[in-house]
Amino acid sequence: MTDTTPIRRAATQRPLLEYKHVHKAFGAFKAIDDISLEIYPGEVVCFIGPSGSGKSTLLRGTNGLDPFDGGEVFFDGQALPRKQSEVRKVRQRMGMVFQNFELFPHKTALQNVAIGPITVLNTDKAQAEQQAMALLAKVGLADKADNYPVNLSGGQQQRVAIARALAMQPEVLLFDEPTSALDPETIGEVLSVMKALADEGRTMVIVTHEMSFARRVADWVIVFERGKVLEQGPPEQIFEAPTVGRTKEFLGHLGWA
Amino acid sequence: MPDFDISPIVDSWQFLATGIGVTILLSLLCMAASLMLGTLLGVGRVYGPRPLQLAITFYVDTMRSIPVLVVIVWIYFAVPILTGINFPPFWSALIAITIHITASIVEIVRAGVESIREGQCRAGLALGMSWPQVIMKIVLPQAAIRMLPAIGSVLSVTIKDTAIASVIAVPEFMKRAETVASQSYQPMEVFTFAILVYFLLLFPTTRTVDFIYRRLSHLGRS
Repeated sequence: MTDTTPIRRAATQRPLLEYKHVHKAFGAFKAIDDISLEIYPGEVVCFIGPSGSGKSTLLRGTNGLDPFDGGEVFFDGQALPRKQSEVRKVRQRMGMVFQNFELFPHKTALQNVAIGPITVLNTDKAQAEQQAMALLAKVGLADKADNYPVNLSGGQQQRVAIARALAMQPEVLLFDEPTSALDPETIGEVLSVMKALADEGRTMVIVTHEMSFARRVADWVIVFERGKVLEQGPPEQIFEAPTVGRTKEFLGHLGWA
Repeated sequence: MPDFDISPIVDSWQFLATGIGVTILLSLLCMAASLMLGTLLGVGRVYGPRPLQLAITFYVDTMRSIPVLVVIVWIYFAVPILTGINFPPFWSALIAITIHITASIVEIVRAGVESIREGQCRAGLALGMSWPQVIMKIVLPQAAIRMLPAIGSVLSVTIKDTAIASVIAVPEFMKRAETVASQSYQPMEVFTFAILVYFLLLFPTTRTVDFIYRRLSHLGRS
């Protein structure tokens, strides 16, 4: 270890997620260009970087929804299977939260949260709904349990979506720009739910443009550019003393000096 | 203005009423069979392997270019000669109308399923659902709501198409009305009554579907 290598506290354990030389191209455009990374248990890792830098593509490849062209993802020491029937088992252990919420419009908030355990884990309906109710209470929406998504605000929908992901008791939560589709006034409520989850010690990978949130909540920040990792380190380093000129430039555009 | 004598209708009311019963039975069976087959094939058309997709597309395009009357007489008169299997008139009509209506349902299901945003499937898959679970629990329920108006109009076409079964002497309402009209020499009264009966069968059907759609439409938005 050299002096410039920042200290990563969680790095004493085996990584929960490990990307090994993954790459993906859309035509001639290299969205991900040979990235290798580790995510450790209990860590909150934020992916930041300009649009098209590959951060969302990397997150979406994590559970095999958009598989990589090459390289390997390891989850809990196991390579992500390619077969649909086997990759399902791994997805059950990863929660995902989408930019556009993707709540099921024909289900109430409660049913949206309960559908995962009922359908995938064969949980008894009453038990799944009881658990769903507790999760809705946790995200502050117990009173909206019987509302359909169409009657919820964007921020409320995203909180239900987080509860839906939590219902599967995932070992890692993947957030794909969770606040990018929200009105400014509802971003805060979603971020505070996420902060509470981070404080519980959950492993979270968050693609975000919310720099102050990343600064405050992340244990580790990874800066992407043109399909490569530009720089990674603890938030203090990335936001206060970035070692790479391009990181400085990117943060400068966003108002961070 | 000729006199309007409803006595042949009154005299043959039982004969005509059983005809209405047959019309309703044939319509319901055709609807149920077409909806089941059409949904199955519609899903196969979108998610199935390429050869299956092509086969279904070929079937849909063929059926849409053949009048239902031709399908009915073909099944009733040609199939027995070709295969040696004889279907009674009612069954011939049921098979022919179902084959014909299913083609329309397939296209409606295809459009409905394709209108569901891809992110909805991704959300289901991310929870660990299998593709069949995603289709059954997430895609089809939403698509069904969006499809309702189109399904409603195909269902009314189905009821109307059963009248064509009169050409192969299925004892449905139109056939019975023709019989009464020719025996009583009073086609004006009998066929006016027929118009009224079909209207009374169809109008509530389309209104009901429309009503259900207006109550549910918000659940199909994503």
